[in-house]
Amino acid sequence: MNETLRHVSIDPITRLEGHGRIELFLDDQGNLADAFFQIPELRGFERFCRGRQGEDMPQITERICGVCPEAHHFASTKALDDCYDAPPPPRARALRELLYNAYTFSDHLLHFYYLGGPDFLVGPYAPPQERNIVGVIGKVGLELGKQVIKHRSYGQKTIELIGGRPIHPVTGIPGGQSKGITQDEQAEIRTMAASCLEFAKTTLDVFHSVLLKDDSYKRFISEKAQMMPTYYMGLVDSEGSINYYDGDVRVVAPDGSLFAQVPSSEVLGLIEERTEPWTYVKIPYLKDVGWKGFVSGPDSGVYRVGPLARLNVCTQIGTPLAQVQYETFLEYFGGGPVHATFAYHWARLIEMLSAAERVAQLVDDPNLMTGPLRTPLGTPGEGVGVIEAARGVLIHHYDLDQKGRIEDVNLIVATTHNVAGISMSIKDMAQSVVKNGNVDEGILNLVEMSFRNYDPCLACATHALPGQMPLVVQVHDEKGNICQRIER
Amino acid sequence: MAKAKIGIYWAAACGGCDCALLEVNEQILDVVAAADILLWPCAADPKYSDLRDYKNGEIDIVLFNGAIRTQENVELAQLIRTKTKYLVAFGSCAQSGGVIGLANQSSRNEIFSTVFGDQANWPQLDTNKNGHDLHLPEFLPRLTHLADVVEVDYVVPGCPPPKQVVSALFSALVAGELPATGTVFASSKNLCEECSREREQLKITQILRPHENDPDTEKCLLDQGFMCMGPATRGGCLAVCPAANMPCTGCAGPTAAIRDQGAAMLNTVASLIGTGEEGEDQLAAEDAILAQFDDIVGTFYRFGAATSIFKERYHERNATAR
Repeated sequence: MNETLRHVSIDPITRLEGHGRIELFLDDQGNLADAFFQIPELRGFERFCRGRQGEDMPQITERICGVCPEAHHFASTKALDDCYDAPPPPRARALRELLYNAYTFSDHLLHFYYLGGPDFLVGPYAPPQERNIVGVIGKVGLELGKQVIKHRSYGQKTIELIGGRPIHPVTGIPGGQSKGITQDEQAEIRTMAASCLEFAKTTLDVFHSVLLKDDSYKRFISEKAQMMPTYYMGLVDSEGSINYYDGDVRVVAPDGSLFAQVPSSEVLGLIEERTEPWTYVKIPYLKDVGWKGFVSGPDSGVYRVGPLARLNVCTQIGTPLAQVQYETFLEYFGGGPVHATFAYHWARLIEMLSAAERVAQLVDDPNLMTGPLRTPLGTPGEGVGVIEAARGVLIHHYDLDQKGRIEDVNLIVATTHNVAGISMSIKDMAQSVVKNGNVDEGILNLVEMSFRNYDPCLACATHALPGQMPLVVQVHDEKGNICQRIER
Repeated sequence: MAKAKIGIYWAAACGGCDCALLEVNEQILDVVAAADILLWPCAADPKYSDLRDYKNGEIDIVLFNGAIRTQENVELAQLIRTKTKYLVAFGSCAQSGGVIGLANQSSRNEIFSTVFGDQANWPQLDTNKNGHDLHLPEFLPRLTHLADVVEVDYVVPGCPPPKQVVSALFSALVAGELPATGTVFASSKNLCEECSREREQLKITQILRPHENDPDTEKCLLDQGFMCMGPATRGGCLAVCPAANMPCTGCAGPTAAIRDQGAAMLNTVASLIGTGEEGEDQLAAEDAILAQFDDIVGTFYRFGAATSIFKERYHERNATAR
């Protein structure tokens, strides 16, 4: 086999946020020798945020990611609350949390119908030109397709009414919000929220009737090759319920036991970041467990975040309808924690329902319409803001000088926590499907599906982390079929 | 009528422009009914190999978002230019470099030092791991915008472009009636024209920051002392940020009459600074007001630092540095 036949490049990887490619190298027998997950982008936010006025950070850092700007906007705002020792008054907090749950709903909807879901809604082996939202609408019908579009717009509209804009909102300021909402706007949100709640239920019905009936999906959530027993990290409230906006950071071990629970401001004490000489990616891991390489299990400090992690760390969901779905989910897997990586899709939809339920509750929060929007600010200093982005725990850490300007910035984003997990999932999938030189388009899509579970945001991850993620994969299969040349 | 062929691409971007396309809601169904999507990494599966296989000029129009930050961005911009009849600079980053153009205030070495620390950990363009050659695109010494590397036919401003502007573009596209090349899809007037706040062009006696002072909701933010970029910024968004009690940050770039957005705004502000009093000591008083600015570049060049009149500074200094 010549050199070109031995190198399969998936470039760019698609249906995600950001730039990435997967390089697969095959051995003489046409089996996988090595796989590399490369992220060829960098923008340098940590550098050019220095010197900026602190209050500008919610609007600057949200440009890290236009898919989850709300997450950066409020992680930043919360970090500034902390820098100025100015927790927002109840009204501002209620506004933020309402917007934030609408965002979680909308973002999860986007992933299921537009990004990751088409692999199953249209089918993993469908022609590539059909594996997208257009194909989804062709499959589920125009009526449901229009419902998808409408309810995404409802989430976005709620964000716009509170945040001033549907993408890159502007109303978060240290110690509060720049504006409230009118009673008409509250009524509009209430009406949309009721509809979104119904749609979230419909979406879970779609999950049960399509994905849980799909042979490949059922295989992927049950086969051992796609199980990855790692630690999990997520935010929980005082009752142990999921909270996307705020809470303690809880970490559970692969066996489900509590590993740590700390106030979110102390999360940085749990994590260490590692630089490998052969890669340019800083890989976070649990400091007290230690780095043992790209391996799972209780002895490895690898942990994961995001929808599946949140369901694995929480004691309960905290809203009634999603709780029922959560119990069904646990029952399906015979109890938690659930290590099946493809269960991220399922967990995401349970969260979409819980977020819709929270929006419906929060729109009638007694604090929402009255009281001050701002709290007096203290002297600027250091602060940490932690929030659950749709993709997992997001940490903004700032040092402000006396005039409130940024001296130093550290950002640890959801997809960065998951870098080790994503790399291992790509490896696991490539190991199980790339065999004997048999590497067609459908198989390469299976490799891509392994990262789509995480709904990765590489623009987020690479605000700081370009470079390459070599995955050392050894496949030992003796049959030596010559593979065809495929580049995607 | 044959279906149009369109492409959507991102270079150094955040994905917000891709999401902005979905903000038109059901109109997107009209677009996909009228056009086949030949490239859209965010939402569809065509790869670069497919793009290379298209005939020159085969795509009718490509909406290109993101700035030019890496050599890969340059090469894709050039490849896309050969494959498409019309190229649209979509969003602030493609138009003027965007927020990430602020990186041009630092050299590449400074950026790498901050992000990766010790030089031993810096990315390498070519590496060999386990006998396999891997290549990373070069992080260019300075960020630039799309029109700097290829010819651009249309501009859609905004970070991201607002729904009504995207909708106007899509309507033209679906009808097959694109306007003359060179058209900027937004208002030709400045933001103040569509802002509901009342402006009296008052003297600016102190610089206010939005977290320290609660603005009056009816009066012009600039009149109150908040650095609202409206006078130097193209309209089209319906002034949504001032409506949300926050100053305009200038994301749509300047109107056609303005060469340099930040300079124009500084000029406006300079003419307004003052106490309104007479006397020799007023110069010192004006200086004291001007001294309240803590971040001139981040305030006045938030989205246009890469294409401002001072853009060459670090380019020249670091042309040979690597």
